[in-house]
Amino acid sequence: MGSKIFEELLKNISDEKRRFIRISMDIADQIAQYLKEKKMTQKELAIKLGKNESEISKWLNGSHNFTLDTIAKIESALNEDIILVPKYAYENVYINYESSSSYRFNKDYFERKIANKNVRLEYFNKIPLKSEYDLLDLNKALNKTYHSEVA
Amino acid sequence: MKNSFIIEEFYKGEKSTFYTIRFCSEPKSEADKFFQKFSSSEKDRIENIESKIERMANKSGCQDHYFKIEESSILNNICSLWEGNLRLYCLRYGNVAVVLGDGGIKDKPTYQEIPELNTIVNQLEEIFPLIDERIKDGEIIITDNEIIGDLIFKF
Repeated sequence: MGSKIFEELLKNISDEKRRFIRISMDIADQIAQYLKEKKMTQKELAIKLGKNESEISKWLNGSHNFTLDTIAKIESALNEDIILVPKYAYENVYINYESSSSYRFNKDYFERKIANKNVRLEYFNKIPLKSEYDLLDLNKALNKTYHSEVA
Repeated sequence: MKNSFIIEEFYKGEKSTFYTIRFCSEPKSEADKFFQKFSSSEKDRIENIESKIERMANKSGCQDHYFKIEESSILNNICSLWEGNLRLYCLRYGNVAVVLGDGGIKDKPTYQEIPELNTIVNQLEEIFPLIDERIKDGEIIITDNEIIGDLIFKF
């Protein structure tokens, strides 16, 4: 099933092209997500940036070649981070099993929840650690966007 | 709609599936025609569209901001995947399914001014209510990543 012609064309796409599209689509998705969260329209973002709405539409179509300058302007207009380099992209969250003994700790549930978040979950069930979050706080925290590394 | 057609699978992924229209009187599907027409002359732009389809199918789903709403589409799902003035016209069903038509270069302000594009969009305008009726009757179902049901339309 599926188009053999299309499958053959896909074989010729370079890794560089795939990466370019991945990055552009991820940026577009992030901008679209922020607009939704802030209940802002593309038109309102355009006005804030002194652009035409068609420019915003181009940014969101998933293949725009953003300059860092444009990214910085968008981040400033939205007051949010759009891109992070890997060094700063993850937050380490420590779970101390000791502190969670009154709850039924479901490791699979939390791993599913964090699968798409920039959070690394570290389990230290024997060594007492400074616990950043107990289970209830972690649940709330998973709904936030993390931008900085927390010790 | 005078020509019988089939909605056939074009590219399937975990998050969404792309379909295309194949008229029974023609050997190639509408999307195959588009990609073969432009794969050499518009290589870079076509590869962008190909890569986006691949990523939408496998990772991101068919989110609305990737598509351009066409002028006729107030009451239907007609939109396009676009790169500059290159358009691949389609019907979008949420984030999970897209039916691809044919497309071309839109080098005038409206598609109506370009006979080839006008024909392509008009075909989709005729096809949309036929699919829509089967969805309402339950003969076609949109699941979480595909369209299933009676996809053969005979006249």
